[in-house]
Amino acid sequence: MSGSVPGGSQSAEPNLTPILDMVFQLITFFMLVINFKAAELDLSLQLPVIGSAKPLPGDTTNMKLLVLNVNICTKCPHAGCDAMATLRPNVDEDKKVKGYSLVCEHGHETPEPRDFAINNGRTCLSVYGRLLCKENRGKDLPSIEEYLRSEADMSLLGEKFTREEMIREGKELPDVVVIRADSGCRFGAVNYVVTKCQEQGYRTFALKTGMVAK
Amino acid sequence: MVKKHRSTEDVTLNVTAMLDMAFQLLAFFILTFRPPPGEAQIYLKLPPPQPVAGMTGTQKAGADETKDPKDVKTTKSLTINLDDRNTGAISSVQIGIPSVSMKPVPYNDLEKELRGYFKAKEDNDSSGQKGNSLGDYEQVVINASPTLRWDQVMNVMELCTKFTTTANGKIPSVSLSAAGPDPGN
Repeated sequence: MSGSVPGGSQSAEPNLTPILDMVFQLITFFMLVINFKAAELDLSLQLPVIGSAKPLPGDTTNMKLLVLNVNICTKCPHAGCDAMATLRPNVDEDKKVKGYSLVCEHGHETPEPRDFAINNGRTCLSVYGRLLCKENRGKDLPSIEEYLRSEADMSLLGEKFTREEMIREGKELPDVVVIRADSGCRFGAVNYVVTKCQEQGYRTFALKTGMVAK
Repeated sequence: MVKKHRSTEDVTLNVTAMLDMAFQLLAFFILTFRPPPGEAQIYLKLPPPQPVAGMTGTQKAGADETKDPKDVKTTKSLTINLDDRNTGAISSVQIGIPSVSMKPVPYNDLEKELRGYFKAKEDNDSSGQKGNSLGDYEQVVINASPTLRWDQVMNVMELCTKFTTTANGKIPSVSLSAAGPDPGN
């Protein structure tokens, strides 16, 4: 008997065109909604929640924003680790905060009460996952003041006035400084960052808050 | 002549490779997708505080603040002192002009008190602009203890912006200053 099945030599290929169409539509969707600016936000910060905060007025697409994530950091309590650690909330399945832990740049976690930031701890800026403190911490970790100065210098490139003219004539940089400070952060730390921004010529600020749940 | 026969079989493009690539792209975009966090903001002009917060010009301490028209043009700052006794939460509030007098106010009455400071100007405002104005004061200085928690300062800031936001979209002017050195480094 012949073992061959009639028609068995033809390959049965599914028609992939509809699935390809659908995948391209999904790709288009995700390409349109992707937001690379979200990378500069430190999403572990808990912003203060108040009632009357509003979105930025008018057209914000042409506004130059300098986003500063202000937090308090401390030396990692883990033995032998010399990295800096910040406080992160421990969230359960229902997104409720159960407690807080210090998480350092090397990933060590240590439980810590939230109030540590009030009387001690160092002022820091979180820039793309790097922690910048008041003093220079070596390569790629400039001090807060050096970082703000370099950002101001970048803004001055597009301006008709120089740094000296700006200081002499009381001009201001057009950028909006977006301050994203943790609600548990002490005022002295935020005030230090705001003062350093003012020294560089920034005058317009947007203080970020969380949205009120309705 | 020999007639040419064209093949009657369908020519199908192999889309498998393209589909593989499309799935890779899709995986990348799904993994990097982060929905924007729900955030709002208070939009402010934050000039550095004046070296001497309070009245400048010829006005003397204790003089009537509303009658002399020259005084309206001089820089005047309304100061709000916030103390926390190192607890992180507001324990006492004082409001006024440092060189004249500072009045202790219960925190819950701060909004009422601020309204009182700005109401006289609103009633007399003949410019026809709707919305609140800073009144005679050009800026509000929030002078807070450095150990106060940031969310407490933001609550006071919210009250201040209620009275300094104008209908024509002018950005409110608030200054921050710390009462004492920062305990951290």
